[in-house]
Amino acid sequence: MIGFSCVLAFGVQGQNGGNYFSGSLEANGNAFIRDARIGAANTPQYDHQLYGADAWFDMRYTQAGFNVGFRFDVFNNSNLLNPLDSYTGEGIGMWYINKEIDKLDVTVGYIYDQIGSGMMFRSYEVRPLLIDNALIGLKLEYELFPNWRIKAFTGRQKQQFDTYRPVVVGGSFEGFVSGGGGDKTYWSLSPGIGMVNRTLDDATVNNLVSDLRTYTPVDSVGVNYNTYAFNAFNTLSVGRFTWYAEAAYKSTELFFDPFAEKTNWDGSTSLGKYLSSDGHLLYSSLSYASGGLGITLDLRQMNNFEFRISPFSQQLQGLMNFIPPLARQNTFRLNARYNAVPQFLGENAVQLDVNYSLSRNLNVSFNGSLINDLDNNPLYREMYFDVAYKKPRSYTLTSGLQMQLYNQRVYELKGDAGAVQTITPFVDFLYKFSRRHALRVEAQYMYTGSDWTGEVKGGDVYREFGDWMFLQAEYSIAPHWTIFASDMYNVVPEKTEDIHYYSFGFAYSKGANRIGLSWVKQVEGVVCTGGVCRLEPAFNGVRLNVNANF
Amino acid sequence: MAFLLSFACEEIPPEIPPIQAPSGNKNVLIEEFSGVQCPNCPVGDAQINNLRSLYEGRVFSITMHPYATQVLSAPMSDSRYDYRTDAAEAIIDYLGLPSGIPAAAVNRVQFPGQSGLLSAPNQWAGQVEDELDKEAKASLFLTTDYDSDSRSLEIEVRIEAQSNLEGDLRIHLGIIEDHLVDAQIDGTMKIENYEHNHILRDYVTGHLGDNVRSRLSQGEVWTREYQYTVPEEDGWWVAEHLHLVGFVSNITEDSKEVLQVTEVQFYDPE
Repeated sequence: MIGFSCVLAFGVQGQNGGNYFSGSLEANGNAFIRDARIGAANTPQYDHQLYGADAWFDMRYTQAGFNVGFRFDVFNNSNLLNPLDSYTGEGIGMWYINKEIDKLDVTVGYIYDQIGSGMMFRSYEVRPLLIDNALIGLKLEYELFPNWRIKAFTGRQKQQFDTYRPVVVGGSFEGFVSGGGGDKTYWSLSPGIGMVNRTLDDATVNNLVSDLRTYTPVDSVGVNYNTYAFNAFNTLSVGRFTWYAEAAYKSTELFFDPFAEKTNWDGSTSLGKYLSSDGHLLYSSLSYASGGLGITLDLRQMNNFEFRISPFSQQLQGLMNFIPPLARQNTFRLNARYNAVPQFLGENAVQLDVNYSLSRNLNVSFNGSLINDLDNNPLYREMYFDVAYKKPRSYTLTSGLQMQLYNQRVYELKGDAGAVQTITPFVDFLYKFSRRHALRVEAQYMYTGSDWTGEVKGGDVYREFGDWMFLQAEYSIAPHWTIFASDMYNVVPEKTEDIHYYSFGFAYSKGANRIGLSWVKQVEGVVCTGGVCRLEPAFNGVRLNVNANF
Repeated sequence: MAFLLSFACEEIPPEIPPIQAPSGNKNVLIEEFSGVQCPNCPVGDAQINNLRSLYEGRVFSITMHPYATQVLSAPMSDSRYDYRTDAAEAIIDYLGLPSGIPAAAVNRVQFPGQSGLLSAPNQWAGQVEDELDKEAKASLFLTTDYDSDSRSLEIEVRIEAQSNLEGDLRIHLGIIEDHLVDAQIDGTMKIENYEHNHILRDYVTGHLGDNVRSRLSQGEVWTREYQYTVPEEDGWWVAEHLHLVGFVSNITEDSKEVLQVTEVQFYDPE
């Protein structure tokens, strides 16, 4: 069996200075090795395809004020689009031509952009989850005054190598002003307003009408072709304080609420129906930075703020905005196991992050997040604390504790589940033997079954898989080699027999190239990449990654 | 562009007319993939019940629990039955794995805008409507004779081509069971006494059907007899709750379309 993954990137400076050629290649290959014990089975890849690959080859060129680029995408037996199925396709995944004509900046082709923080509108790409919702169309930007720009775009959203039929149009007006005492800038403002409109196509509306016709009169609801979203945002910086605030409103739109009660024609009721309502999102992020102290307080409320290209789009497809979890993005394996996937239909969230350097060698950090639904039922709690001590040219020791409450019933729609509560101590130790040789060891233990928040009663304290232990050792020989081995072990198993989920492999880097080969046995779970999350099934097999830039 | 829109934000919304009698005579088969641990699957069941009620005698369904949907279809600790079957597994492989369940094929037709044959419940109504407005290319008649003592089921199949048919014509005969009361996840709740209906129990023919012929001329009739022994009642396999669903499909290079479907309740208490 073969598995491979490659990323290659390159750049060539032209002889006459004005032109520039650059690019990258990223390729990933998987060899799928069936292991029914962990659930790595019953997909085409495990049953008969045995091999899958994804690759992106990106090239960009600049000359005479023109910027052009294209990307060739390859998906062979890929499990990225749908982890339970296989997707094969190849072709031009992106191209664009950009030219600045005086103060007018023109782009045609595939457009990646956002308004404000992106929580109202963002077209972006997340390769590990095969999110690529570029707009295919036209974007114009004009500099009205220095630091004040107006932007407008129109297009249709990309759907793999095709396009969704609804049309998107929008724009923004953004600026920057500053002032203050003497030579130093004491304050600055970066205000902006934005607007997006999505017009459904006839086929989509006809499908909706067909479905709504089957509703009983009590659940009857109408449908519009057009949905509008507006936002206003601003970053205010005064001295050591920075405050970002954004408010967004979405006009009345049809959306599917899986928890709404529907009356059927036989008189029975069931959950899940279309509703029509407007929605809003409010976000505030206040931070303070001084010397070794950094504090950030985030607040967010959203209600009916799912914004997709079509009411028929599901999961990670057709997203028109980017709303990341308002919780710490953990990197250690067990700490990152349970993620607070944003609840677009309604949540209140608050997060406090504090980072303080007691000295050049000692740093402490704290993060706390609290997320409730709009009825104040707990969805997610996290308390995180770590201490890092660094002895220059010798070692770095990081250790801490994380505690979580994760309402799996809501986040993963596992009705048989409850709220998982975890207590996870962790330690990370990096030891430098010399300038070239270093060893990093990380270990975590996840204890489940407590009721540390006191908010979840009795039998609802859910242990899911039980307790876990994770150990990883990584040895690096600079500048080329890294080898690693890890094991995630179900110490107190609840669902399965005690299974070792082990991985091992190596990576080789030289110049702009990096090649990695690993054997991976991975438990199912919610995987979040860049703030976007998806439930991923278990994986067992060999992975090869190759990256390069030029 | 956004500026232009500000002058044009009044739209004439689409009308939602009431359900009307279909103009065609083609019946509809909804093949639904489901699971007892799938929180949204009761939504699919409810939609099927609505469509069966609205188009009574014209819409039929088979609910299948495959292995491929993994934990979503696996029985829970307090489940009475394991609804997963090899037949469901073979059929989901044949129709293409969905990104999630519930998902269903409507007459095994790929509708515009779909990437495969399966779609989510909110798309079924439109697809059913489209299919009901079509003229059937074949007629299908099932005659059954069931012996309660021996539990032997004799089936006579009669297909009459309504137009010239060419391809890989197949006949499919499945046994479904209603009124199976068992645990089911529904949203964030577990329903202990959920009524599972139209559950696939077995196929009399092969899972992917039996070959009829590669060509049938308009007006031509094809018949075949089948014999099936209904397994002994063991909590399920209750004869009163069993139905025979038959359908004809035609497999061509770019289609697996169901041409006609019908259903009979073969147990007669008289």
